[in-house]
Amino acid sequence: MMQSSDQLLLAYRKMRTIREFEDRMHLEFTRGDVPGFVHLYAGQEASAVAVCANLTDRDVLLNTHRAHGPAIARGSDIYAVAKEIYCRQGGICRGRGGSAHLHDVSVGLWGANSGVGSGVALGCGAALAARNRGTGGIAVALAGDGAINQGVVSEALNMASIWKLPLVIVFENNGYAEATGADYAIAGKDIYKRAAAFDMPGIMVEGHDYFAVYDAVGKAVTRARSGDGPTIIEVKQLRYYGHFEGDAQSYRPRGEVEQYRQDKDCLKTFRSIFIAETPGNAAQLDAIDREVMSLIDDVYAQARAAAFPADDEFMHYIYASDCQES
Amino acid sequence: MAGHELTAVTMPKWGMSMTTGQVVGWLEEDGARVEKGAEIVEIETEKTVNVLEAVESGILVRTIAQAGDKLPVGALLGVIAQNSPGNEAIEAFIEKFQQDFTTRDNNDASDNQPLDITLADNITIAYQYLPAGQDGDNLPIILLHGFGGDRNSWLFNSAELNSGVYALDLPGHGGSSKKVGDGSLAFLAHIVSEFMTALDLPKAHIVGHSLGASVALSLAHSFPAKVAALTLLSGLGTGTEVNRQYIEGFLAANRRKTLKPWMQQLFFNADMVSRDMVEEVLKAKRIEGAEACLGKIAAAAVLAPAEPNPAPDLAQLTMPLQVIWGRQDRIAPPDQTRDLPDGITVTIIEKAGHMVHMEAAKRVNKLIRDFSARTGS
Amino acid sequence: MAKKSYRQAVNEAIQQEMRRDSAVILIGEDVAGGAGAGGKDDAWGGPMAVTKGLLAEFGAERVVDTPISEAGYIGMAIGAAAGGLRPIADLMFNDFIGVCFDQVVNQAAKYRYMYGGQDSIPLTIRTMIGAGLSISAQHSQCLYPVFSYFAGLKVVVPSCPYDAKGLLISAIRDNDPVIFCEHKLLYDMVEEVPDSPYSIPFGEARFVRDGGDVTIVALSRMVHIALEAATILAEQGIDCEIIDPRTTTPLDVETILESVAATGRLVIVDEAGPRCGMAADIAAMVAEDGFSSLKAPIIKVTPPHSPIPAAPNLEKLYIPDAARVIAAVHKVMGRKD
Repeated sequence: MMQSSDQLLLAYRKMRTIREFEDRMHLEFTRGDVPGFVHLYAGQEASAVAVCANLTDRDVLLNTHRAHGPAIARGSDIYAVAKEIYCRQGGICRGRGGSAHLHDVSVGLWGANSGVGSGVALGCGAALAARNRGTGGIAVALAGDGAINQGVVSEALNMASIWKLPLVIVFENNGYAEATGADYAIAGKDIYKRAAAFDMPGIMVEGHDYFAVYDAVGKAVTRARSGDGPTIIEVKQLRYYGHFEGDAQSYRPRGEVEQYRQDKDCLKTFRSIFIAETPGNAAQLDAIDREVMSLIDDVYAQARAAAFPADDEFMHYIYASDCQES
Repeated sequence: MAGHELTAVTMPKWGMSMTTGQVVGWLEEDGARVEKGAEIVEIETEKTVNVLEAVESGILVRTIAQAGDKLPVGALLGVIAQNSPGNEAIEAFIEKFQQDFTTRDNNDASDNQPLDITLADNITIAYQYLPAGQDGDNLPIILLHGFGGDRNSWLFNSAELNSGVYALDLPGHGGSSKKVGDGSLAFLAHIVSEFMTALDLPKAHIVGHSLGASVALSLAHSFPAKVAALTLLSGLGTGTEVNRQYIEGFLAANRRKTLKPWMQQLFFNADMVSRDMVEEVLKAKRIEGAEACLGKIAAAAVLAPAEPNPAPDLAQLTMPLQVIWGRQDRIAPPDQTRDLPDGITVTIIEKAGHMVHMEAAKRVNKLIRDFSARTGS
Repeated sequence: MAKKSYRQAVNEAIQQEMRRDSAVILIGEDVAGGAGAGGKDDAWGGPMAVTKGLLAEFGAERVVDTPISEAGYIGMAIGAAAGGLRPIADLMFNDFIGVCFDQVVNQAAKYRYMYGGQDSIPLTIRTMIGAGLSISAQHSQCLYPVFSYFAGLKVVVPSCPYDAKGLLISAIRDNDPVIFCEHKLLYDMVEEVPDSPYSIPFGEARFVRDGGDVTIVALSRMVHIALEAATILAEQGIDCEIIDPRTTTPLDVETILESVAATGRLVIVDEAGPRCGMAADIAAMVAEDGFSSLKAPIIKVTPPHSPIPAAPNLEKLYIPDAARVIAAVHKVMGRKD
């Protein structure tokens, strides 16, 4: 599917925004005022942004604990995202969830869960609800390479297939499940090949190439929307930072990230393809880079300045009914 | 033994679901002379407290059940003797009674199972029918309960009226359909009329309580030929002055704790309101559609603005009419009975609230019986 | 109104809610009981035939036989609830919570809270509890104390057909996740149940029996054991008040305290275990807030801290019976057995 120039500029803006947001988080985290732990998405931007470029308002994207990038890609208010990571008032989850649980129902972004792979089963439900209610929507579940080894993921893939649910499962294989290598932990090494066992298509795509991911997801989305059932997409990529901030990453080979940044960085790749087609576009990308820099400055300033949730709202949001068990 | 004419005083069965009762205490002592109809022992049921009357005159020769005893329906509470039969005969009577006594299965065929009949527009009316006793040959009596109540509110009355008695659940109430049309008195009266037609009851003595009194009056105006006599309890029809707070509070309450204080306002003696009585009302209110029906009736038939002077309305009626009220009625104040037209008998009963027929059951039953007899209805 | 069994009451509640609201669906293992098996596609209607007949009326889109994948379909039910359906998920035996614990306690229970109240999970999980069929330690537990631990869940333990119908309708209409615990030995219990739909509010205990000497709090099937004991005790002149909390979250502590204030004595009868169970929980609450009313120490009547045996004689020893309740009541009354 052809994308307009505006769509491509928006995609670039989102990728650049995620990169700047995460690079800044990497620095800010060391100041000690970000509660809890954070998992950064830098290096993987093309995946979430290309997925979201294929989705509509009716669709649901299921987030993972590496949650910032997909939230920004899906269109969440970046100020509310930052405030949530800082656990402040005005955060998208009112400071109750924090970095790993970004959920924004207003943009069709459903909760990241700490239990790896949870989103695949939840995504079956989102897909079932969309089909039963006739909304025309589909669900896309993001999962990491670690998730393929979760029992619930196998259960969910099986159900998605037997009921031909309108679901796409995107495994973002960044090479590591926490500190354990994907090639060590995954029998057969290739996640996408497991699709055959569940009687659905499996596609592998290089994650640094926005255009390739966009096309692969596009095929899967079309299939889901037309009622033909689910697809597994394995996006090969690399995370630039540790499993979480503070991870010394001594389990990784030296120079791995540097090499990848040089050869396969998704922003560089995008820029070179985009400019190759229309050389005049470089200035537009440069302008986006500058705008994003100043946006990120403001986002972090506001997040740090926001108040923490009120103590007297401690018991809020537990039950939908008025029954507040004390 | 038969010659001594010993009579067993047994645990009564008040209302459908009663299987046991608890003796609160004797009002007469061992050896006391009691007259038929005298109050001799106080019994607490799951629903409320009531007084058991002597079924025969005589000497209360034995009080067997003790205060606090919980006993099944039909169990021996005491013995009344006509003469002085001697200890041996009394003991033999008691022994024989206890030998023969078996706890009655609450679901046996002799029970008055609730009945129902389906009228036009698929409106089903649940009712209970008690045939007239041997000395009752009057016209039938139809009992119409009050707002938010049902046929069970007549549990101390139905069996004591010497007539065939029909206690029905008004639409939207109890086991009847949750369909109340526009919620008006005219609609409710129309249904009662249809009910009478369906059961082939051309004419009856209509006894209405509160909202039921309003329905009875509406029936009397619209279908005078069907109403032989009218007994109005705690209500005078559309002009009745009603405690709005009660109606609104009752409508809003959906839990035991919120409902009970409102129900207590219905009685002079708030202890009459047992947990079970509250639970029964809640069960009825929980049924899908019940609260909506009650709201509709409240708006159209109870709280609707009307001139607070029902007298002209009553003066137009030709059938005999009596009015009974509890002095301590907190729902509809009794002083509104002061200026009623001549020829209407008004009885104000002391130490009784809105539920006068429960709190002063004996008095009310007698007034209804006598009225039936006097008016030839 | 007609007499109906607990099984019929549950079935009728589901049927009436499915008729009322097309968003209500039923999913689980063998809820139709025969999907794709070549014979009747609704042969079972659940292993206890509780959901029999629903497939014929509502079709396979709304009565869905799942693979044996508790984590998968409970997770799917949560997602479907977030997506606008009101699923009733059947977790056949509550013991199987072991394989979908994450979904129930980390996802369903925390969905509303962790996402700052953005949305809620109107999910009902029906599940069988209770011992008495010699089906051993992995099919017979009462795990509602475990569910009650988790804020965000509501937990229902109906003890009779009337309550089962009214509470299940409330559960299905509730916007929070509800674990609805059906005791498998109660399915054949029969009583008057209204034909029309009705809902019983959560957090309101039921007075099963009024009495002035001892308060007995009993849950689920134990309500009937307590009643059996109370009938015998009444003959001995001891008058027991029996309270059935009906829901363990929310728990109507107020009613329990009110009763204990009047009787001064408390016996708790629970088929769940003695450690960290409802009996321990209720005892702690009354000790904390009702201590001054107590005339005797609180007694818990529960099974021993053991797995549930298959051997019928051992299982009989495991389940609290009337004799144990009577002994406990005697003890709080200061009587020697």
